[in-house]
Parts: sequence; structure tokens; C-alpha cells
Amino acid sequence: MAVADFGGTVLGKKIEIVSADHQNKADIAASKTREWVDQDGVTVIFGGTNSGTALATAKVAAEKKRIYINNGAGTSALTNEQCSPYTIHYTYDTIALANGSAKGMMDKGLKTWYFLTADYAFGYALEKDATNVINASGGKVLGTSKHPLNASDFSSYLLQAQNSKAQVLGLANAGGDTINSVKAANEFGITKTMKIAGLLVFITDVHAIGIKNAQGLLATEAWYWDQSDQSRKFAGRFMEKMKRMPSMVQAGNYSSTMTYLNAVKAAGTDDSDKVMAQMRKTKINDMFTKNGYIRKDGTMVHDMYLFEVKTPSEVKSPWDYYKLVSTLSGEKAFTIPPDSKCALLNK
Amino acid sequence: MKRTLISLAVAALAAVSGGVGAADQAPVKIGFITDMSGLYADIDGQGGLEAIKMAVADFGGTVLGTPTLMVRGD
Repeated sequence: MAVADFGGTVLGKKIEIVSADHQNKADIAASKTREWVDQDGVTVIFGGTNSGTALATAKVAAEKKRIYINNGAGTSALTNEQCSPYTIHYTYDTIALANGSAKGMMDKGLKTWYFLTADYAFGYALEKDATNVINASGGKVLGTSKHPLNASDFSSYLLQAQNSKAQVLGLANAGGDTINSVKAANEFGITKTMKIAGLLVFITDVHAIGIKNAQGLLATEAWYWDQSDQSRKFAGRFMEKMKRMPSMVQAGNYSSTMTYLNAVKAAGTDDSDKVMAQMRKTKINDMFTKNGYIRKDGTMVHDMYLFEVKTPSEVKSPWDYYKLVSTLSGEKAFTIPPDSKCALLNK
Repeated sequence: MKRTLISLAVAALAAVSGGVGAADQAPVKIGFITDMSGLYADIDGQGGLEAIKMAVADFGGTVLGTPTLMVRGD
């Protein structure tokens, strides 16, 4: 990657960015984090997609007392069983997805489910959190097929799902796996007898699947490029550079970087404890969210949105994919304190 | 191109001034780790890095604005 040149100082200090590809391997994420802190003096770690790598990074960051801000990993364990005073889970989590998309399907009167679940921390968390919502709403899970991360063939899993006679094919997977399962479900005619519930659908997935096969899917999102003047402005700038619209994760990266740098400036130091305290006491109002706040367990509590993917005839321009179904307030979307096992939250 | 030249000039200045530096001269260093090449790369990946760079640029551009950010990947 080339050396880029941008303006950036805080407290008169230079701001540097180092980046790495964890290749979806938790051991690479952990060793890279350790190396960055011990050898490179990294002040803060931003982690992206993949719950396995996120939990590994969060653990090292906590041990090293470095702030870890995640945008992209789903698992609600980051702020629950494995919460840390140095972790912030910023964009969304599997609880919010369950309260959005799983509840949204139940509200359509679709009660029986079969899960296709990515076989690692994220898939388990999403299936568990969705199952709780399904059971609480009077639904039933008839079965589950676990598939490896980045699966190449979904046909046998889809056959098992169809044989279950469930009404809903619940996808507890993400990214390339969601794209390929939706494509395969359409190809094999599964969609004639089952409704697909992608529990984590990103706008980039909709774009890759194509509007014909993606129409009608529900998507629980923290942010959509076409939701406000501020979001459209950011999206336009991003589009110019990347030639695609930003996902909620990419928008979360922007927002959380600003949140961190503003806190360093306000605290007058990059000391982790002081910056965390500063971030916790400052409401987040920007292109990403309104009145968001960082709770003691590390959850950035903010409104979430349940969207439905438009039909082809409703799409008026490129990336015009969503219509709003409902808004979930942050307090209802994320883990409610009585349900949390995080000691930081309830002490 | 102009920005590159400024950046090089600043880098040269830093080199001349020795870069010895007390502890508080250490940079604020952001590490960004994600799936850059696999099945989740479109959700985050290079676009996620770009978003962080945009934020740092916007922050610096409006506050102090010394063009010295280095981005290193591996």
C-alpha cells in the first residue's frame, strides 16, 4: 500500500495509521495487536469484521490497556460476557440484529425457522440471539445447519432446510456467505417455499446479490447513505474515492475515528483511561447518529433501523435499495442491562 | 501532487530537526485490523481504511492542519 498524505495532528502530535489484514484468523489478529502495541506504540486499535478476530483483539487490548473500537464484528459477547473497560462496540451487534430482523420476520407472521449458521463465534451469537427473540415471540426453531466460513457450496444445507418444512430460512452468516446463500436459495427454488431472513444484510450484499434476488429482504442497519443530508454528503465523498456507497461499518469507521480524536483533544491526552472517560461522557451527534452514547459495557447505544429491500421497479437510482420499515431506539435495540452479564454495566 | 510535495517537505524538516523527541512527541498511532481480502472485505476492508483516513484528514484539516499523516500497510 502506498504512503498517503493527509493533514492530521492532535495535541500537536502527528496522527499515523497502520493497517493489517487479519485474514479472518484470530491468531493473526492477536499477534498483530500485540506487535503493534509492544513494538510500534499503537495508541488505539480499530477492528473490523469478524467476531473471532474481534474477541481475540479485544482480549489483547484489554491486557495492554489500549482502547479497542470495533465496527463490523457482530458478536454481542464483546460487550456482554467478554466486556472490557477498553472495548467499544460501535456500529451494531447480534442483539440489535435479532431485535430488528428476527423480530421483523415474526411480525410478518412467519413463525418456524431453520438456520444456516456460519460455524464460528459470530454465527453462534447471531443464532442464539435470534432464537431468543423467536422463542419469546411464540416462534420455533426446527433445525440448524452449520457451514464453514467462506463456504463454497450451500446445496446440501439448503436441502436440509427445505426438508424441515420451516417457513423461514434464517441466515446467521454475513458478507460473501450471505451473498452466496441467497443466490443458491434462489437458484434451487428454495425461495418458492421458504422466506429468506438474512439476519445480517449489508447494502454491499444487496448490491452484489442484485435487486431481483434481494428484493423483500429485511436489513437491520445502524446507518444508510440516503437517510439525511449529512449521510448523503459523506457517502458522496466516499463514493468519489471508492466507487461504491459506504456500508454502515465504513460509516462507523469514520464516525468512531472522529469520536476518538475529538476525545483525545478534549481530554488533552491520549491516555487510554482518560480518553475512555471522555468518550463515555460525550454524546455522539454527527453524520452517523444522533445522541449516541457509550455505555459502561462498551456498547455505543444508538438508534437502529429496520429496512426492507425495494422491488426492482421501486429503485430510482444506483444504490437506492432501502425503504424504512421501523426505527428501533438504542435502548430497545441493544442488550438491556438486566440481561447483561457484563460486570462493568451493573456494578 | 501538491500535497505529496508538502508531505515530503514536512518529512524532510522532521529529519533535519532530528526526530529525537520527548515522550509526548510520540504520534497518536491508529492501528486498523480487518478482513482486507476475504469474504467480508467489501463490507469494511479498504473502504473502512479509507473512511478512517477521511476522518483523520477532516479532523486535521479543520483543527491544526499539518499534513504529516503516514499510512502504512502490510
